[in-house]
Amino acid sequence: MNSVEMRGISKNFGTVQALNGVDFTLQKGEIHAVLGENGAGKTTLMKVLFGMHKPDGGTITVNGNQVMLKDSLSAIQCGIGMVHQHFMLVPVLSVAENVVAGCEPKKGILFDRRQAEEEVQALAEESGFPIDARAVVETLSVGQMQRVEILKALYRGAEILILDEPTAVLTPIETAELFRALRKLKADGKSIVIITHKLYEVMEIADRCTVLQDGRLVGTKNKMETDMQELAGMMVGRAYQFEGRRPSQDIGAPLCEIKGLSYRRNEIPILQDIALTIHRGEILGIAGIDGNGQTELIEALTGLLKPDSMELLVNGKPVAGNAADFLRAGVGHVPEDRTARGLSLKCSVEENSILGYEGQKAFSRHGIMAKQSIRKNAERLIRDYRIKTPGATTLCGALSGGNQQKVVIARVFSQSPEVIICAQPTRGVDVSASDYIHDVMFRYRDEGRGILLISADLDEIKRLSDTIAVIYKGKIMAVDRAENFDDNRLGMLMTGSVAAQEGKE
Amino acid sequence: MSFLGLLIISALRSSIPVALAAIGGTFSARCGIMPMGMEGFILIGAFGATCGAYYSGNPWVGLLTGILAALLLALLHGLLCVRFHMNQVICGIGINMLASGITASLTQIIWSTRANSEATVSLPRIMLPVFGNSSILLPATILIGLCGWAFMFRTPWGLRMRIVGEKPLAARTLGISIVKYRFAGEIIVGVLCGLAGSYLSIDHVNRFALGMSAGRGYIAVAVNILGGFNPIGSMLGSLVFGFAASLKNVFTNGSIPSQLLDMCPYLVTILTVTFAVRHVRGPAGIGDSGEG
Amino acid sequence: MGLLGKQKPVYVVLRTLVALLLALIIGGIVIYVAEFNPLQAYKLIFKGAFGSVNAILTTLSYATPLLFTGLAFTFAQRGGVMNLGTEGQLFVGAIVAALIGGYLPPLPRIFFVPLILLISALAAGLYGALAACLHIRFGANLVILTLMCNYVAQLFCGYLTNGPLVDDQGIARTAKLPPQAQIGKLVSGHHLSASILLGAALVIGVWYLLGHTRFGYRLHFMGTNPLSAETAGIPTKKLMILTMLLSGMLAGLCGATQVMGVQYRFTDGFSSGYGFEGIAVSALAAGSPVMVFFSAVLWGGLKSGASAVNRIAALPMDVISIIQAFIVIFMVAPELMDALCKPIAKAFPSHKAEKGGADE
Repeated sequence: MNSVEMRGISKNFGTVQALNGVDFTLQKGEIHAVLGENGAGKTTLMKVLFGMHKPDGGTITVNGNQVMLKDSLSAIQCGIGMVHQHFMLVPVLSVAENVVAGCEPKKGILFDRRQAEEEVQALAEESGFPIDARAVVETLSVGQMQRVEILKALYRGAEILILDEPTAVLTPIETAELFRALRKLKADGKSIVIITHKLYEVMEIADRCTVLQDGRLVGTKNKMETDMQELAGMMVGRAYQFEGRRPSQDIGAPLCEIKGLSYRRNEIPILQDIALTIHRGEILGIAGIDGNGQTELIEALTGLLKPDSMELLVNGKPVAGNAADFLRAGVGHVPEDRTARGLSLKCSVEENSILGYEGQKAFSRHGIMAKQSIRKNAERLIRDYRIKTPGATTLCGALSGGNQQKVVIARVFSQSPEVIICAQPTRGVDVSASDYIHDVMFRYRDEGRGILLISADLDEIKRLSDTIAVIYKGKIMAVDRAENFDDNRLGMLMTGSVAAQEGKE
Repeated sequence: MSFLGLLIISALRSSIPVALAAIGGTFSARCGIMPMGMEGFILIGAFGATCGAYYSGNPWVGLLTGILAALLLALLHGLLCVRFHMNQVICGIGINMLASGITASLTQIIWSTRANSEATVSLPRIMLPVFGNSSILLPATILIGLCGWAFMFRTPWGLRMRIVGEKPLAARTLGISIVKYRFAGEIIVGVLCGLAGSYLSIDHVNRFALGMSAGRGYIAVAVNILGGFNPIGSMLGSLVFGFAASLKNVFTNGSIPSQLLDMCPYLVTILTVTFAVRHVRGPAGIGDSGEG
Repeated sequence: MGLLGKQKPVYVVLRTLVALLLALIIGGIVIYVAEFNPLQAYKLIFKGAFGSVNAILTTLSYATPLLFTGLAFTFAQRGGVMNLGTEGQLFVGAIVAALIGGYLPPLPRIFFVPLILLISALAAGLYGALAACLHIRFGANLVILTLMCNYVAQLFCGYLTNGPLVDDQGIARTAKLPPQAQIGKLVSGHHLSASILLGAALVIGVWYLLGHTRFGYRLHFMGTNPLSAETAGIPTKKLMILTMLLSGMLAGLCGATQVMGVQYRFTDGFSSGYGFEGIAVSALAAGSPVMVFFSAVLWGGLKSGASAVNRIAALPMDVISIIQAFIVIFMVAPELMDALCKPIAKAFPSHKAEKGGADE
């Protein structure tokens, strides 16, 4: 029998159709991967199953009974548990408190803390997620936090477990441990859904695989009857391409030199003696698993964070100071999270299109804004960068994610800085917009300037970079021409497994 | 009585309303609502208590009406902040303006002057072993503080309340109703501010006076922070302000101008929120609706 | 939030009108409880406020202080700073004006008046900036700080007027300002002070500052997304202190002009809570400095009308505060108004984007 059957699920957010008549079945005792690119609707589909989004259409059957999941509580009561990508843990509470919250053991009217700790400890041991039930969550590592999340679901008697991108934050060893534990849960008869966009994970752990693209179902395959090539094709809806690569024809003189960049936070080394050189006409890609110091690297190189030591030369001139000084010195910055740092959603497109450059002569003189030239500039950017917006005065919050990102890209690239620190340039952006953004980056490089690309998307790194540097635990593991890397070598370096042999070039 | 004894008794007396409000405020803050409306709840509680006592001649009825009045206003505050996601600070300020407007209007309508009401009955006093003749709300406050602490840190509902305040989205995924717990927090803060207001108008004195909450609601927010959002901490923290406020009752010979003495609790508040509470971490989910 | 969607301006105006109407209806209920006919009362209030040239002048004199505090709050809010300390700041402005004007040897009027205005505004601004500095340096809660500063300023002024400065008749007030320190009347035969011109000029000034200068541009980003401002190299901490300084100066001018143009001295309790009324003025103006002018005139009209009625019947003046409170509530909770205006909203479809949704 099928644990879950979802039929014709549709879900709209405003005018955006996130899911369009998607079918999904989960068999009892299987591990089922839900595969798709960013924005394909994977998480939305699973949030519907967990009662967090109400579907606009379609039916859900759990263990043969049709159900109405009006909130998470009803999903929990159906035996469904979900481990979110962003953990739903309260950092200041203990493991046991986090796990039992909502169905606590009681002594009279009081919360029985000791029993809670004992129960959680026992559950942790027997389900293969060893952890100290009394530890405070904020002291745990990311991998341990994930265990707490899984325990939370299991404590509530979940028979169906949904994991949203569980390996995105894990080290390879933790990933192996997680997969081992998941196989054990499967053997115990639990049904497991893994949301992912990593193909090799699907091949490693899943029994079946459902592929989504742009909110539509592409198909469901048995792992035995498919291979990575086919899945990749289903995922992007076109032949899996590395043809998009356009290696630089002319890598010139050093443009931007980073030397001796180190940074410690609470005595923990975050960045360790980083040295990188970006040449004219070069895209230098930083490959690495999220959380290995990339954010701090970006912030140090844009003046937002004061590292313990760093020498930064642009065109041979040292750069130091605050964010404004870095911008003036010709270091452009495409922030990794556009809604957090890149834009103000409550400001208009034209206002956002000069943010950081408002002091330039073209936009303001003696402190007075040159409204007309700002408007002209915005209209030019809208045209040149194909930003879909009703007008220059529209609030950025009314644009789609891809067009918001284009506003940031247009702003930075149109100012022609010497070098651009470009972080996650296409995160959450649809395929056509992301192709366009890549095109902009190639053209910019071909004009003889440099780009430092930081992306969690390895395919993007491989497609764009002329040179790849691999970062692991705040250290550069290797720097080499992009064509000298294959997936295997990249994978080993990103997970720190070949530190000793390779060293720095 | 000795100078010190007088000071202590007076300090305790002055801290009762702040302590009651601050204990209530911890519940509101712990489930994610910044209790900026306490000033208004106290004021309208004081007015409600006076009305009840005035018309019925029974101080206990006054206590009840005081609580009810504050509770109603707290529910309005909850409706605006929880259901309609209003900015919590502005909402509190609006509620306080509303309370001062309503109480002043009604005082004028009922007693034909906006300055203060006529005298009315006040709550009976009890003899306590150490404190001597004291307000019945003194032991009540201590009891409420202790029970509040036990509820917050020793019961499942307290745990859930804290989760709602720390990370509402997590509460949602656990099937804990954010709305329910936040309204519960509003009810608690409303009732306790009603008690605090009643203490001011029908215990400490026997009439309602214009603006008699005099910033105690705001001070209670500061006490809340000082007390680490803990009912017992809030109770102890309010003593600091009790001492500052009671200086006026001790230096009665006029050697120090009364306005300067009156300034003390406010200055102490500024000093504590600036220097003493730097490492207190508030509930992380204040102002977070937990949707999306 | 309803802020993300692009809503038709017509709908927003209608919503504001409905908010005003609802607040007036609630005020009417209180008037009814006070055993007056609400319609009759509002008619009299309107007549008292706008019924004659004299009435309009009185309305404007009531509106003047609100203009300054309303601007002060609007200005700070543009930068995401909630200046709840306007009441205290205006006391500082008033007492400093009264001290300089009343106790220092006067200069010729043409220098003396601007000088007093400038110094008293600066003093008030620094009082506001002090709170901002404590907030930035020590992480103290700005809301609590500014509120406490209100009480401290009021009590300290009370101490000065009751203590060292008490006049020979034992009345708590400072010495009368010499003519050189007085702001003149706008028209002869009416007590409306010329300081309303200063207020009107400041409305235009703030409008220009917010809408057309680099400072205003940066303030807007700081107010809507401080992290994006920081990323763009905007010094947000300095900007915040500057914002509180300027906002405090605007509030200080409220106190100073009341002293120099109306009372000619500092009297304890000269402010009927202008600071908090400024929040209501600002709320009704929905963040627009130009609208602050009309909003202030409207509140001034309500106050002057009500006091005119109060002279013939004991209508409780505090009804105005109730109406103001509801305006604050209705205007700052757009979701509440959307719920109340559902039928109107249907006629003006908005493209509100639901939050959350698609994959990260």
